[in-house]
Amino acid sequence: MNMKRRPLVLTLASLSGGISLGLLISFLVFTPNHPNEVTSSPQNTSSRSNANAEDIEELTSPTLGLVDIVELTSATERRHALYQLLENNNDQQIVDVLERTFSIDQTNNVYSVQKILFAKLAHIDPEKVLESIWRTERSRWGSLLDEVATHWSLNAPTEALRAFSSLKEPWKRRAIQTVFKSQGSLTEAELVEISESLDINDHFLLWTHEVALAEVLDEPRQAFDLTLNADISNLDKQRLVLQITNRWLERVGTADISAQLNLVNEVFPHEINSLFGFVVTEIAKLNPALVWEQLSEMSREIQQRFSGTVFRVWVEIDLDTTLQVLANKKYTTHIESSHNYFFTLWVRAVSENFLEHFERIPESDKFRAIQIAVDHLADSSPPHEVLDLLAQLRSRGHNTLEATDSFVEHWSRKDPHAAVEWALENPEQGRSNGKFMLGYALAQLALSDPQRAMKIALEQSSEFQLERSVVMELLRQGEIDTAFAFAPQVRKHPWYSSIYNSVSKFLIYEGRTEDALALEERVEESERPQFYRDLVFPWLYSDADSLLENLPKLESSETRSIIAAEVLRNQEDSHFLTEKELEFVRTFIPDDPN
Amino acid sequence: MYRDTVSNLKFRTSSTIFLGLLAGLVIGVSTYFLGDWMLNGTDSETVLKSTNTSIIEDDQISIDEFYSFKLLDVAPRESFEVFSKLNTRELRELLEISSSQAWTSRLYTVQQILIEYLVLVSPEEALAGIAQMSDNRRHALLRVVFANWSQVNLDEALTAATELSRADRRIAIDTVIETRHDPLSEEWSSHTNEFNFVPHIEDWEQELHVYEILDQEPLRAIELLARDKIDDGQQIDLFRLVAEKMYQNDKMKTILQLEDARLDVGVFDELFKQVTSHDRAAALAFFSTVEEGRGDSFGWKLIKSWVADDEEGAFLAIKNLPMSSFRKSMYRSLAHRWAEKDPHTVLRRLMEIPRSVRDNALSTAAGELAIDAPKDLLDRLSTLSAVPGANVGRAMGTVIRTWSSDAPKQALAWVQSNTKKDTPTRKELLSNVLPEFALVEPEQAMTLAVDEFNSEDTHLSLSLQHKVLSSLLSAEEFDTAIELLAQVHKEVKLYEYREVGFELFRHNRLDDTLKLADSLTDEEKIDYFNSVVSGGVIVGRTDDVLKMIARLPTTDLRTGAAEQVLSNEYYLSEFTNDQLETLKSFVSK
Repeated sequence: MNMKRRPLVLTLASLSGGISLGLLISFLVFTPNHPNEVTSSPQNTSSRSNANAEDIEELTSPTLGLVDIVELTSATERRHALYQLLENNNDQQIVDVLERTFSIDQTNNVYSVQKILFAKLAHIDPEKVLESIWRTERSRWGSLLDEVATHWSLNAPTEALRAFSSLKEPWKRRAIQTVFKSQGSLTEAELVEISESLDINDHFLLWTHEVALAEVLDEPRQAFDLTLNADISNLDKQRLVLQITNRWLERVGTADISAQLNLVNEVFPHEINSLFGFVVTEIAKLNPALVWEQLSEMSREIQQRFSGTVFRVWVEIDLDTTLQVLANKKYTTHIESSHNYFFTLWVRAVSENFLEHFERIPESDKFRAIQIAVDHLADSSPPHEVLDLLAQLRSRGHNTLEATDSFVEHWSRKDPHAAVEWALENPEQGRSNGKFMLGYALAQLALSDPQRAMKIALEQSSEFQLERSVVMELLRQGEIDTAFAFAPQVRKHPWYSSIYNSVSKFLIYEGRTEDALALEERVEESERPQFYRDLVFPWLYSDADSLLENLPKLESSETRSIIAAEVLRNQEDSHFLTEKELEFVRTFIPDDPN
Repeated sequence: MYRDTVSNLKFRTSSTIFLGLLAGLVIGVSTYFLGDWMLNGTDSETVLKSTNTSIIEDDQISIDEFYSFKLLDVAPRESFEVFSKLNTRELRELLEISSSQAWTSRLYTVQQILIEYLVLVSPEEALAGIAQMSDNRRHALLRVVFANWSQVNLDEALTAATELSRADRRIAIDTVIETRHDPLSEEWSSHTNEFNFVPHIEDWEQELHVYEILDQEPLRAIELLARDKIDDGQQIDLFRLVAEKMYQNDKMKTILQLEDARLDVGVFDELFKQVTSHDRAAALAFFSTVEEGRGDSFGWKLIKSWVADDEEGAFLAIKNLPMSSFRKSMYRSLAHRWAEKDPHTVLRRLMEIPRSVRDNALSTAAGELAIDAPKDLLDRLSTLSAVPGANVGRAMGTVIRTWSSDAPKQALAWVQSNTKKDTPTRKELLSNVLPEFALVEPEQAMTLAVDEFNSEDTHLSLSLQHKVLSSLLSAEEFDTAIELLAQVHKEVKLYEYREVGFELFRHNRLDDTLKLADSLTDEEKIDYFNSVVSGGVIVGRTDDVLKMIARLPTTDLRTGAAEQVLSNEYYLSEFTNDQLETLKSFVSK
């Protein structure tokens, strides 16, 4: 090598080496990626200013295992690490990762990892991921389904709707609504077509209504009107009416209660099951005393319509003032017949601590209050508690006969055996020495144990005619053959017609005309005209053609005449027959009226 | 010398290498930073803060453009790098701008990542960033905000949740509870009372409890849900879940169990529909075996929704039932609903409908069609009078009633020209038209009613004169009603005086109530005032009753009215002790 060139070579060589070294050092020292940062620097959540800088350091962290990822405290780190883990994985491997999460303790972090995996898999194999939802904790199903449904609907809404339409409730409805709300690729016409083909029209109608409602949500009159006329279920109407109301009241508060009530009166139809009660309840909740006061200044019609709802809200939070309102009849009697309703609401509100409040009730109302409270408690309290209450009231000298009858009636629907036993042991505690309460209870018992019911009934005085109650209940419940078998045991009573009149009526309703007519033989001669007259209405009502067909076939002309006359009498009110048919019927009535 | 030369040469060589390395080092490091700057720009928030300018501003690219051109194409994983370079304001702006972008699965994921970032630095900004979004997107992202915020700082998250609108608040709090699964922990206790989270926590506890017992005891689960203090409507998804489980176990018996649970009407209706939709024919067959009343009521509910979807299917299912009162009842329901839905078809296929319910079908169909062309419809109905079971008179009554509310004069004219006097049909149709006609021509209406009166009519409340007066009283045309009383037949006179007198009393026109009695005999007066007193007590107007008795013109009348009340245990219970004393004072000794 030429000696003159040597320094140049050295300079270039050392420069190159220096550059290389400089770059190497720079990369080693200044590059923000440190392999161990992820696990060595847990996020200090309170130190917000460093958050992004720390995150930057995580960007090139090496792949962590699933368990390590789950243990990361920061959602950002967890998500990033999970993405790294999944990078270059094929679909099955991602499914495997999800599978592995099911074997880890189901902590909140596992849930958040699962959520990300479900979202990712919603693109890859949505059908499979849908099945996987049911393997997570039950309390997570809803939100995971929301996540899958959102992603699936944004990618492939038609397929999503098809899959969701075969889900069971409540998931079907929830997922389908999520698709309608999230997807943006299908036109309305396409959605209509898909909805019809999948038989999910009602879901589609609900969604289109909610879209339209969103436009007028802050215009309560329009919003209510739109909702009331929508072709959606009553429960959805109820939910949306509440949504409109709450939004409205959040905005206006109690500024003008009269105007609010007026609007409700105008918008909501005057019909049964009208939803106005939900709105008025929300208004009343704001300040029931104030709402009551303002309501009492409004028109009679509005008072009659809304006062019950307002009082119901009020009584739940202020027993004392509402009792004062009740005591001042002037205050409530201008709303006719409402006083009884208000009183019922008040008594129901105190029924669980009835004795505690009993003395506050005016003497003249105590009898009625006992009945209301006992009826209310009969549905919600154990029988022994109600019986204990009745005993205490009786010991204080109050009349509990009607209330006891009523309670036994309720009780026997749930436990007829116990109710019958108690009524047999305590006949003096009901009206007419237990006749009524035993009658109710035996009728119920007849449905589960007719033999026993009949046996007990026949052991009681024939004056009670309890066996008749048993047979009649069996007839009403369609147990005609059982009732028919018991019929001969029914004891005669001067006040009642033959039990066979009733049996035949039910046989006619069942289409067993021949059996019904054959019962004539069981009826005494003197009772037969009434037996035939009693047949006519059910026969005309259920099968007039059959009556017209059978009338000429009846053996006795007297029978034919009785039936024909009864047909004509029924025609005055019920118009079962045509003129031509009436002419035919008239031929069975002799010319001589005697 | 040689050694000097050699050492000199060594020194020079070493110096050259050292200087070369040093210069190279400087150049290398500088090159690294230059390259890094050129490739990535400034890369940390620290730098951003120190210069107080963002990367985007430096690049003269608007955030919108940045978003549109870059972020939408960025895979979620790459978005970490992008977000890490933005400051809080930029992150928020990015979130806001995303609301106007077409919502894709990728964008939704990127928004989630963006919110996770923002929540770390400023959750309030995350909340503000989604505030203007449409409900659906906002609700989805609100869950992301609160799921993350509650993990970072529960106190702040709960406080912020309480400041949201009612709808958003519910989503936020439910998300926090669902995410953390620990609302009974100590960490929550102070908030529970402070912010009234009790209902939310009760909801959550109830939900978990239901999940626990659902598989083994679905019936207990439904009882639990029905008896709790939480609004049934809010728990509808849980109800649906339990009902589905019940159906798996007990099929249609589930309906009875649901009804026994005494749910809110709306919730029961939803569950009824859900359960019966599994197999409507099986449901109908099951209801036919259920106790009377209950079975009918379920059947009517079922037929209503069935006809709405498929009337032929419902028709066939009813046909397949054995003959019974239940079957007839279902036919009646079908006839009614079908005629409401498609009256023209029902008229056309009238003979296919069983005779026993044909009149229901015809009457309902007539009611539906009456609004458009009542006269044509009445003419058409006249041709159906020979159809067995059609009861054309009832259908005509429906049409006339509807027509009368729009055009009472024309409706009346049709009845007068097309029916014979003293026939039941004419009377029935007149009783439908006169109440409306009375409101426009009260005198003519009463004259006609009097003219059509038949002394054989025994039902006073069904007389045409009563229909005219009732209509006027309902419309609060009291003075007209009083005037017309003079025209009524003597057979119905007292009855009508009592009716009008009580309505006057009810509407606080006591003077008129008293004056009306002037036209009555003494005997009639007793009956009249006793009737008003009874009515007054029944509607709870005891004070006014006492006032009226006090003003009765004779002692006998006062005594009679007071004794009537005093002898009736029910009436007595309506009076206070003071009032009873007053009442007793009216009785002549």
